[in-house]
Amino acid sequence: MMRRVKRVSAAIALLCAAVACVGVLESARSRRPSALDAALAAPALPAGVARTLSLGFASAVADVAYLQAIQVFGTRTAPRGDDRARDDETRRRAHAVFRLLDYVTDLDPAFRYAYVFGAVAVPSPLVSGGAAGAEEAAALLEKGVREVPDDWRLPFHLGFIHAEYRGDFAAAASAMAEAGRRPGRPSFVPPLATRLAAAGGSIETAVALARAMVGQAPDDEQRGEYMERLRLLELERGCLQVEIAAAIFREAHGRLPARAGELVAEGLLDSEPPEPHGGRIELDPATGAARSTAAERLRLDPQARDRMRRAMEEQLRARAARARAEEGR
Amino acid sequence: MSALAALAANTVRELARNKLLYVLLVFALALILGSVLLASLTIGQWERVINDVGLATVELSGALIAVLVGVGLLAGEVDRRTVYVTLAKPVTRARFVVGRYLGLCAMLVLLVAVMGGALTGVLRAAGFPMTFTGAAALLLICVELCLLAAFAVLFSSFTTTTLGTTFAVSVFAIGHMAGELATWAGKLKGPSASMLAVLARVVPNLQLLNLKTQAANQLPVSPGFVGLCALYGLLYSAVLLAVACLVFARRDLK
Repeated sequence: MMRRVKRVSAAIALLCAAVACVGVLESARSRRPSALDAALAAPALPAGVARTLSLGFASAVADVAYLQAIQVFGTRTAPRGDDRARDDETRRRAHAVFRLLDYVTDLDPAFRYAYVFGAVAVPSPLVSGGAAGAEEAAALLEKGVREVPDDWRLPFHLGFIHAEYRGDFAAAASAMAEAGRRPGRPSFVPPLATRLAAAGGSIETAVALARAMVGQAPDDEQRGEYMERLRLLELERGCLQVEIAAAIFREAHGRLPARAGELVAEGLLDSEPPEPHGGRIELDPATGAARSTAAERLRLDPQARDRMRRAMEEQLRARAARARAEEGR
Repeated sequence: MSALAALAANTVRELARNKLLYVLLVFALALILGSVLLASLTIGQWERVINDVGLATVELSGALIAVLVGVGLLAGEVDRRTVYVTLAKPVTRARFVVGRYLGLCAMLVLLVAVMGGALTGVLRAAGFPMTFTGAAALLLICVELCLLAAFAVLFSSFTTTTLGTTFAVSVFAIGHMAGELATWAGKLKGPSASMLAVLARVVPNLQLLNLKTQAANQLPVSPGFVGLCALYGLLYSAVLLAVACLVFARRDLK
């Protein structure tokens, strides 16, 4: 009888211990920091100390930190509808990825792909407009340009970041010119440098730059990112064309056109601009704003959009004047 | 010369029966094969991760074998008293030390060749070639392991296996910090700076024998540089071996 009581007690004690283990495990899991928070807290050792203590295995340690940066880049936890939370997460992620890649390149300054990955992963468009991490990406690439003097891709990416995210076209042209001087660069790089110097800020230059980025992307993932950027820029170009033509139409007729087709009939546009995602560009007859039926427009910095609009407006007004002159004749 | 060859061949045969060696080799080969999985987690430069993990594995497992087996090479013989059987024959103590050392080096070169072959196979399977820098890194790892083995033999000629292992591991750590020692010496002032400067020159500069980062980044290295580094490592090993012979010759084995 006593033996049976002992066995039952032991079984109950084991069961309780197992339940307690599961409880502690779940509690620990819920308190564990996310990959993003962990990356913000890491790395514990400064790169100089880590390099000394790695005892000749610095590039292997750099690989581990690089893998961590890739994991952090893929972390998405904020709910889709909450724009503020998404922007906050984007800013924190951009900073965390930069810190890790800066650490990686301090450990192994010749790790060229870490710079290329940083050029894509650090600057991140925000839902509210603008981009996070552009300055940090530029700093990382400037280090890459210094440390890897035979790779044209690093100044090329730096030029793209200066032009696309920072709106500094003089710096972009200078970086592109540096890319043009390096061995192995494709033939489209030197013309891009001169184009950036002469017509930086126009949407045509931005589209040409994005097309060049698609052409040189080393893998499908990066190519996909740049392809989407190119589609959004082409959509922005189409929407701007429709909005500016509609504004010119209103000056002549005292009203906005009912649809984009009227702008073609008026001779302000050759044809309705195509929507690169497969949808249609529609004009709101009440406000004169254009939108796509398939995708959201780029949330550009207001100054950048004004620059693009001014450059395009000159062309469309000249075209409208020609159309009116031909009509009068 | 024939006694030397017989001693070396006997050491190789003895080491071929060592289970520790096989455990480390299997572990290293598994890591080298697993580097492909690790590379698949990365974006771009797969060959970098395979080279990094592969070369680090070759060096680490080789260093463990060189130290753990090397310190037992003389000390173990003395502890087991098997040294008397050999020394009873017309073999000088110096020849005994050199023969044992050469046997260990032959085994280390064989192990690096096997692991290097596995690394080349993994690289080929993933669609990448073994570059000249990668092959040079493997060669200099061989030299580094021979140097570590020389240290292990030297330590085992006058102390116990535990102390010998501790000393040899310390040499591995300090040798990879030789460059930093010189930098710190430049930043300090007074007698400590002079001491560090002397230490930086005396300890073996193992970073000179480390081309892993260059191999991972596929940076070119000149054959002349590789040859000089290898010569440095081999000369250093020869000096250590000579000292080990002197110490072992004077050691009281009773």
